[in-house]
Amino acid sequence: MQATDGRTYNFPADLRGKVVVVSFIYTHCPDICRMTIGRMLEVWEKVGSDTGIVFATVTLDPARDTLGALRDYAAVWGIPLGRWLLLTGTIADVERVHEAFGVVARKSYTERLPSGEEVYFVDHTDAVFLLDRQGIIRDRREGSSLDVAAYAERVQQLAKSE
Amino acid sequence: MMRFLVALWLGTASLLWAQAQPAIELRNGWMYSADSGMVTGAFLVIQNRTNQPDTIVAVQSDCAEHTEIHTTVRNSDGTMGMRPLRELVVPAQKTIVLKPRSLHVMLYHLRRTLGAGDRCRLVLKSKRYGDLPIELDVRR
Repeated sequence: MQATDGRTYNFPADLRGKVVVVSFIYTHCPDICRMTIGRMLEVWEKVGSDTGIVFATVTLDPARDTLGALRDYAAVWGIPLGRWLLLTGTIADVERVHEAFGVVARKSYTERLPSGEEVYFVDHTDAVFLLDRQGIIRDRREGSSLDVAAYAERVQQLAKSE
Repeated sequence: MMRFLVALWLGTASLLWAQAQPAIELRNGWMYSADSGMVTGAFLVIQNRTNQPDTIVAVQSDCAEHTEIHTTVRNSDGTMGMRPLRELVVPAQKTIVLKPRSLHVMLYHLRRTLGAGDRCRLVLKSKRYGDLPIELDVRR
């Protein structure tokens, strides 16, 4: 997987040793993913100063979400790139990551705009995951309706316990 | 006589108040920030004060190349997605709230980057009342 820090990752294996907060979005998603990223930013504000914690956001739409698109998205949203990676890759690589997390992403419907352009949206799992330092999923919950305070506490708890 | 004058004043005041209220009121409009060329969602409250249902048949905005009303759906396998609506009925004396994870206005291909603090004009096309404009606040 290619990340916004310019490096290539065997994700999530290469992040072992860190507590990782994993979310899934696509940049053409105007609703659910926006809420998830909004919640993730609030969690970041509470726990982001802990250098043992990494945030990773994986695309649900590798065909459109190039590294450039993800960097633009990060800029608009004020996502602090560095210990927050946005990841994309080939369709096969991204699907492999989806499968590992039990995440579903499929084209839901295609529409032709008056301009003649064809657009599509993606039906997808609405979930965020918490990985321990061994890369084991220790928490999974809905991302767009996340209770930020409770989740931040859970992340901090895991970071301290390891 | 005094009672009559008070009743007359109250009647006139309530009539004027009712006339000052729009039949279809749009309020609390806002949208997510996004880059030029991208898609984003807008949200607002639509209140129908009349005794007749009304239908929003289209939405337009100078900020975007194309605009639609969408609803968010949860599929049987738990996945979330969006579907376009051909029209949106606002029942008589009812309020509809367009909000995240629910009904929203979808703006395709923004004509310019809209960041927090910017404004964007949206026009809802009502079957009974024609153009209903609202200014949206852009939020991050």
